Amino acid sequence: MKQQSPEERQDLTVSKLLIHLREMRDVVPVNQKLKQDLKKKLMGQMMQVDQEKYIVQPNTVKKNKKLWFGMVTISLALLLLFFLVLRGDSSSNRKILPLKGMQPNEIAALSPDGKEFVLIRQHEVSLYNSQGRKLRSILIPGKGIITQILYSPTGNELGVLQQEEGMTTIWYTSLTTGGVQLFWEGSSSKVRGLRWSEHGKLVPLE
Amino acid sequence: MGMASWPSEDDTVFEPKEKSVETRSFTELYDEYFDRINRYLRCRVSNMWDADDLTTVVFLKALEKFAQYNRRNSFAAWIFRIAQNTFIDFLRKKKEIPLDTGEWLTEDDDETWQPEKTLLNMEQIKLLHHQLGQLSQAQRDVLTLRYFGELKINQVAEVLGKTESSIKMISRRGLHKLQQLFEKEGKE
Repeated sequence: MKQQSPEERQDLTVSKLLIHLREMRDVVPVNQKLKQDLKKKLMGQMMQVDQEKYIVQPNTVKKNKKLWFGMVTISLALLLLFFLVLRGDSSSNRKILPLKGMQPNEIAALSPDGKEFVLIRQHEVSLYNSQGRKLRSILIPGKGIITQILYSPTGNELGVLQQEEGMTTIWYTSLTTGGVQLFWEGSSSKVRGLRWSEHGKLVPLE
Repeated sequence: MGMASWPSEDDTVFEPKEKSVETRSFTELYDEYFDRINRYLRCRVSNMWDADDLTTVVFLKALEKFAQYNRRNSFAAWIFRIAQNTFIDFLRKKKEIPLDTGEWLTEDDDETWQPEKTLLNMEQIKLLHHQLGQLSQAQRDVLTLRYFGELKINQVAEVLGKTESSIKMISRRGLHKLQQLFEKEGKE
């Protein structure tokens, strides 16, 4: 009978040791009661955080009123400017609308400098240049329907609102690094839209 | 100039390098990782109550920081880094020597314990406790993360902030030492 070499014996004992460690792991008990209790606690905290996000603090109301007034004025001015640019299109090379074949369930957003736009088509988010050429795909996790997509004021980030089975998810995507982060998730009824604050922060709209 | 033609599906000029993104919600990840974190911490601290408290702290921290988690990175490495830091904080506060000779995983009041296996399990766990206690701190960190936390080598490296080659070396030496300990126990 062939004798085992020292290496073979070594391999055998290491594999026995690994099997033994696996058995050891399996005998360490997991506290299933804690698992259930902690899950309830964490879900409660998640709901509490959701609620706090949407409660306006009394001492911020006055500040917010001024802020809102300023923002509404600026938004109206920008809207007016946008329509004027669209009407006077002979001098503008940034016009991208209307686009042939765009379906009612497809969503597009124009970058602040007007050089790029993103389009959501059949769950796929893609970045295009103003000539309509696809530059790249943008990966948004989750399988929900994207209901809104917004460029940040700098044009370097996107805020994405996604809805699925009673849950709303807001994603934050950096167009420079390609990183995607979950910004918020919670009950669908709470969020109806998104906006970017003047400080470049994503703000869910109730 | 006419209207811009609608882009076709074929004109992609760029594909992202990495496509794997963690898409699960916090609660889904909790369901998957609770057992691994709880088991890992129960192997690291000297009694199961402390281990369960630490498990709670880990998931509370994880929920608090979840918005900062980059979904392109491994969730396992992220949550185990929180667990490892929580464990280190615990050692500092308690000034406890990890895996000391005190009571460890007693069966008292543990509703999850399976009575038919208790005695055998207790003996095995005590033996494991004793043997892990004879390894260096680095070897314990690597082996418990690898074999009780069920992490891959690259994830262990990420959690401990070391290179993969140094993790492999520590793991190999730790296993060799454990093997010698088992052989010694067997002879006795």
